[in-house]
Amino acid sequence: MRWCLVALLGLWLSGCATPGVVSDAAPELYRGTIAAAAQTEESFASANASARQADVERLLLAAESPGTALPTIGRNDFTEVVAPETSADWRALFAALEGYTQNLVSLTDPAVSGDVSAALKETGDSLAKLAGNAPALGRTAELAAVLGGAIAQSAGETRALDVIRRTDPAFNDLLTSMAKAIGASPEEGLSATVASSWDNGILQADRTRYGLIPRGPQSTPARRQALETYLAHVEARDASLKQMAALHRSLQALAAAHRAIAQQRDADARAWIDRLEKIADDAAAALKPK
Amino acid sequence: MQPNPDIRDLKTFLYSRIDALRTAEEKAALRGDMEAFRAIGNQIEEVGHRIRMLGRVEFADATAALKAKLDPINAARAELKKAIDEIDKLKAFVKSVSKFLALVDKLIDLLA
Repeated sequence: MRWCLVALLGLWLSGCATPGVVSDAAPELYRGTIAAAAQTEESFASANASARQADVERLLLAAESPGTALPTIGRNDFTEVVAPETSADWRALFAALEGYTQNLVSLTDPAVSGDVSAALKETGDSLAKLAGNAPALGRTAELAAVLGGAIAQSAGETRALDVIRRTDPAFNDLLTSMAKAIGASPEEGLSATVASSWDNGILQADRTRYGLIPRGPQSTPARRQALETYLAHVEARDASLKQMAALHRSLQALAAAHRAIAQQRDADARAWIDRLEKIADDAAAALKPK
Repeated sequence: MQPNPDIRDLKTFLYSRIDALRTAEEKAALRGDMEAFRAIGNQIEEVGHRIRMLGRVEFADATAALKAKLDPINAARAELKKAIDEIDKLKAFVKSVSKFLALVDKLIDLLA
C-alpha cells in the first residue's frame, strides 16, 4: 500500500515536471527578440539609405537649376535619420532584452530538471550499491530522482513566472515605447521621417523632372523612362514603409506575448507565440541573401 | 521623457509649408511656368531635408527616453541569472555527493 502511494506520488511529480507555459513560451520569446533586433537593423539601414538618396536628388536638382553660384557639397548636406549613436543605443536595448529572455529559457529548460534527476539517480544508485544493492533503496532512489527533477523544474518555472509578473509592466512599457518610436503609421515616429524622405525627396525629384520634360512626341521615351523610375520608387517606398510597420508589429507582439505569459493565459500566449514564430521566420527569410 | 514641443511645433510648421508649396507647384504646372515649377520643387526638397534633420533629433530623443526604461529589465535579468546559478550549484552538489559515495564504495571494496 505504502509503495502504491509512493508510486502514485512519483507519477504525479512526473506530471509536474512536464514543461509549463514559461518553458513553452520562453524560447519563442527569445527567438522573437532576436528576429526583432535583426528587423530593426534592416529598417534603420533602409531609413538611412532613403534619406541619403533623397539628399542626393535634392543636390542634383539644385545643381540642374539655372543660377550663377557653383554647386557645393558638405557633410551637413547628408542626413542619417538614425544617427550611429542612436543605432548603438537600440543594439544595447536589444542586448538587454535578449539577455533577459535567454535567462528565462535557461531557467525553465526541461533539460535542467533532467540533469538534476540524472544526478540524483546517480547518487541514489551509489547509495543502493553501498547498502548492498537493496531493492527498496533502488526504488527510493528512482523516486528521489523524479522528485528532485520535478522540484527543479517547478522551482525554475515558479521563479521565472514570478520574475515575469513583476517585470511585465516595465517590459510592456519599454516595448510599446519602442514601437511608438518606430511609429504605428507613416504619420508617426521614424516611419514619418522615412515617408517624408520618399514623398518630399526622392518622389518629389521624380515629379519635378517629369514636369520639366519638354512637351511633344519627341520626349515620349524620356517621359516613359521617368514614369518607370517614379513607379519603381513608389514600390520601394511602399516596401520600406511595410518594413517599418512589420517592425512595429513585432515589438507589439513581443509585449503582448510577455503579458499573456505573465497572466498565464495559455491560449493567448500560444497565439502570440505563433505570431512571433511567423515574424521570426519572415525576418529570417527577409534577411536571407537574395 | 516627453517629446520636445519645439521640435514638434517646428515639424508641424514644416509639413504645413510643404502643403502650401504643393499647392503653389500645382498652380505653376497649370500655368506652364517651368521656372516657378522647378524653384518650388527645389524648395520642397529643402524643406524635406529639414524634416529629416528634425526627425533625426526627434528619434534620438525618443531613444534616450527608452534607455531610461531599461533598469527593471536588467534587474530581472540579474535575478534570473542568480536563480540559474543556484540550480547549477545544486546540480554540482548532488554530483559531488554521488562521487563521494562512489569513492566510499570503492574504499569499502578495497578494505574488504
